[in-house]
Amino acid sequence: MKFTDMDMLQDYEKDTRMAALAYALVETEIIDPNLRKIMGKAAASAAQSQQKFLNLIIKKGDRP
Amino acid sequence: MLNLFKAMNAKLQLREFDPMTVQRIKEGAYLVKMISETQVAARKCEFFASNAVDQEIKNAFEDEAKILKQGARTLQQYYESITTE
Repeated sequence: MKFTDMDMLQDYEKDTRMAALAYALVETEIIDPNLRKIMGKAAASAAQSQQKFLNLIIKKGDRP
Repeated sequence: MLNLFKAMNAKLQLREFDPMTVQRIKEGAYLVKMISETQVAARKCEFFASNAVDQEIKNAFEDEAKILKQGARTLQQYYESITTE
């Protein structure tokens, strides 16, 4: 099976969206302050990636 | 009969873990899960980058793979710092 560029973008955009949610949720369940900070950063960076791929999808003429 | 079950279960009572130990185990488990998920995502991005036709998309996936690998390394280092004595 061959994926088109748009398939891959859509799939990865969904992954980053789920990752941002998961990191933010895990952050709330952690007590260790350093690990909380790391998880917060990871959530922010996942959200940033999501935005990047969202913009790419829109640029290529589709919507997420 | 109920008394018999009660008597049997009384011997099987488990000692409770210290709550902080439980919490540390839980946090370690989360960390392990996050490390493996990040590594899988990095491999996926590499695969997507090799499959992409458009150069812009290829570059985006390659950059993403690099970011994910760096993230996995950071998490791994933190895991090692909290588990080594």
